[in-house]
Amino acid sequence: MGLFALRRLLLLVPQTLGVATLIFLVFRWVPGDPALIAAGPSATQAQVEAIRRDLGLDQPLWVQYAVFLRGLSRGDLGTSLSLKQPVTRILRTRLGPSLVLMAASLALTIVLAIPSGVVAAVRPHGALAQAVMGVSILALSIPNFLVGMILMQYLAVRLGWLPAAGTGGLLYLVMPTLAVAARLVALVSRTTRASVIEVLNEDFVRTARAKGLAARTVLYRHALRPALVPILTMIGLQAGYLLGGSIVVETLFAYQGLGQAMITAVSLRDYFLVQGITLIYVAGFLLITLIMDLSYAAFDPRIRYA
Amino acid sequence: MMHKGGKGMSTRRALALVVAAVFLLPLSAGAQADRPLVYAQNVAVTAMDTAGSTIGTVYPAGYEAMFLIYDNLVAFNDKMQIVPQLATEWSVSRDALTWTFRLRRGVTFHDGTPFDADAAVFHIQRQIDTATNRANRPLWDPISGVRKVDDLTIAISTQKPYGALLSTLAHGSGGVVSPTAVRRLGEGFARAPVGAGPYIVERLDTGTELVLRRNDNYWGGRPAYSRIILRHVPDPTTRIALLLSGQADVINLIPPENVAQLQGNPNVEVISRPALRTFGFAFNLNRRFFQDVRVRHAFNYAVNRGPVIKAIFKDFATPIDSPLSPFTAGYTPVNKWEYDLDRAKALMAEAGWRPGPDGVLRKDGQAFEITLLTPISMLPKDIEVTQAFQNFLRVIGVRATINRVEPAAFFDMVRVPPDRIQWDMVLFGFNPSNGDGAYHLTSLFESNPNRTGPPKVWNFTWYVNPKVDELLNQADVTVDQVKRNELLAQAARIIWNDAPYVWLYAENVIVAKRKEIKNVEVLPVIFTILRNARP
Repeated sequence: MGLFALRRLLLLVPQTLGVATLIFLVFRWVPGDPALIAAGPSATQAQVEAIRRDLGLDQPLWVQYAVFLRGLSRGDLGTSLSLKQPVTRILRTRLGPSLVLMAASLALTIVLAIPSGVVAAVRPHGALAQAVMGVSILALSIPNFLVGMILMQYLAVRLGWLPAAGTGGLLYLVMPTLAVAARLVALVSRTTRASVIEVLNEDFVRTARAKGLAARTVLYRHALRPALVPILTMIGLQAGYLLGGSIVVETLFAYQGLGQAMITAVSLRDYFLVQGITLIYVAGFLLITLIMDLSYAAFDPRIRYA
Repeated sequence: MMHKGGKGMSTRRALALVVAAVFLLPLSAGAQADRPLVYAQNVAVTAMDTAGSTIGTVYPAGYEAMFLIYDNLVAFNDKMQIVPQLATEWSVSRDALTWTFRLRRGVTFHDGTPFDADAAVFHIQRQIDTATNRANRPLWDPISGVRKVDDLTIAISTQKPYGALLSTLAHGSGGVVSPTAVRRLGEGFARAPVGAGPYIVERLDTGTELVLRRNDNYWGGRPAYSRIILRHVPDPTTRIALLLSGQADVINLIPPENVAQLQGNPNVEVISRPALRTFGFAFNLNRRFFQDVRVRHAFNYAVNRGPVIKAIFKDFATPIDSPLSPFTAGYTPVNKWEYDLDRAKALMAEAGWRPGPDGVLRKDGQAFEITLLTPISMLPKDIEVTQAFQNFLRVIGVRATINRVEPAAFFDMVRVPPDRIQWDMVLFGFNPSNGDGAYHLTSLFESNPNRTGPPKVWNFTWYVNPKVDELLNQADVTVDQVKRNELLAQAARIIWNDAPYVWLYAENVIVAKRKEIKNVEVLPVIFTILRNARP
């Protein structure tokens, strides 16, 4: 296990490098000349050329790539064109609030979705199960920005219970978290239900029951742990949604995270900043995938990594 | 049992108290007296230097901040008239090449540096020097020099008479900077600017908010708010929610379809007025079929502007009767292009276009098929307007396909040499940010110096009319405003009838505020000016 983890951890380095290279190339291929944009609408051609030189965009591609890699190895992602600050400094201030939002959404998901899914599996025809499944269908079919807008209209504008948008105390976190988590809760509770039902029908559960163990013990000690594997997979797969969904929700709630910075950077055509944020997102995704892979072994006794 | 239960209760109550305290903390703090003025803007304030080095100031947020931080020599009032600010009076020499400004006495910058002729000279020199200022060149290039006459008098000289000098000084880039702060901060000045305006930069949280505090030493009297916060809220629904819930006092850029919702609220006031930005579909005049003016006129007659403005803009746009918006300096009405389908069809027939079996017009075996270029969500309702236009063209037998491009790619497709243009018509709107009609007409309609490179400014239709060039050059060097307006009116009339565009409308600028807040000025240049706002 330790060796496996180490190997996977080391693999992150070439993976990130590959992705960084891809991002570098994509940003040179997409339409829109950064120098032209930086120069502004009333600039003359000579000014555009001067800016192109300043940004190093007149160099051949491989020189630009070498400069990019050298910066990357020193943790230098260049300077934001619009905010006139090192990209890394912007990432540092914006990463925290985004992580808080993601962690809160994930925590809410685990606290709400897994118990409700288990209950729905144990008593599949009970009133609670029906309610859980009904609500989750609803939550799955409404996009997160709409959830956010509905919450904002009711909780902030009509009732005045919560601040409509911004970043600040815990109150500011409530609606964005609900908007991001709604879909996750629905998805994970449905997965939990299906997974637990499946495990409860397996032979080893029948054996455990035949031993005369209490239903509760069978559920918690024997069935739940293997049932967690598909649930974890589902949560892991949603990491991408968590990152992407937070962009939309952060923008809606003017929440000062990476997602909002991304939208600002795109709208200001701030190539270096967009590049930096994309890199963070991709690295985050790789890291989450790794954590998920490693946690399978921890939860399912049948999975062992050599 | 009793004991245990009691203990449980108290723990729970304590927990509830802690939770309540944590949750209520931000609210009670916000409810304290001396509330700041909060303005929610669609874009973020970034750089606030008047002399941009590379990227320009973000429009309009950056300029709106700068109008709070800086005073200019002269300023616009909300009717776009020039009024004194740091200059108290001015005069122009008989040859119209030298302007003398008398400066206000006893003014200091936020950092204590006195405002005097040296500071004013430093500011102008920094603006006109291409090494220190790369932005807004068309506005500053005509100025050739500046000198100190005495401690409170400066003289600005121009190579040719410069009719729009005062507009340039009143422009957002005309804010007077503290020379001490510029020397001390260098590049950092853009993020911590020092001016002589009513509010002082306290904190810039880039991309999120700018906090300004009152300048207690402001020469024009004590500003009304202890703090003004400019907050970046990109989503219009959120800006509206902030206003309605009392978290914001003023919000900008309201989509026309949301105005009704706001007007129904007794605590809110909507301010709407025609802006300076005028829109139209520009012809690529390099195409042979657009070189016939009858075709261009037919296109103008084929568009029914009223229903478009009503349906898409909910009447928050104004059909134009000149290439310039009614509030642009130098505007004179020409006439309106009325919707006249018969006339449009007759003109197309006169130009030799006959409908084929499929209803599409043909001439010499060639069908009238064109491409309409539009950016995606960069100009107000761009896609909707382009689709409506496509339908108007279909009625007269022109088959148009729409090419929508990302805003980042849009300018790369528009500002290209004539042989690389890949569209036949493009939706465009130009906003003369100094409010001057000559600037507007010159940017769009003065002929380009050569056809090998991209257009000099925004004449991507490649319109050429020597008479217009001559009139615009004359207007440029005419300081007498009456004569200048007459020259601009003549140029506007010729351009209007040459029709290098299908002329459409001027957008309205729509801002909303809490009803109790007074003196919020909305300039047609899309700037919301808060310096005189008071509770």
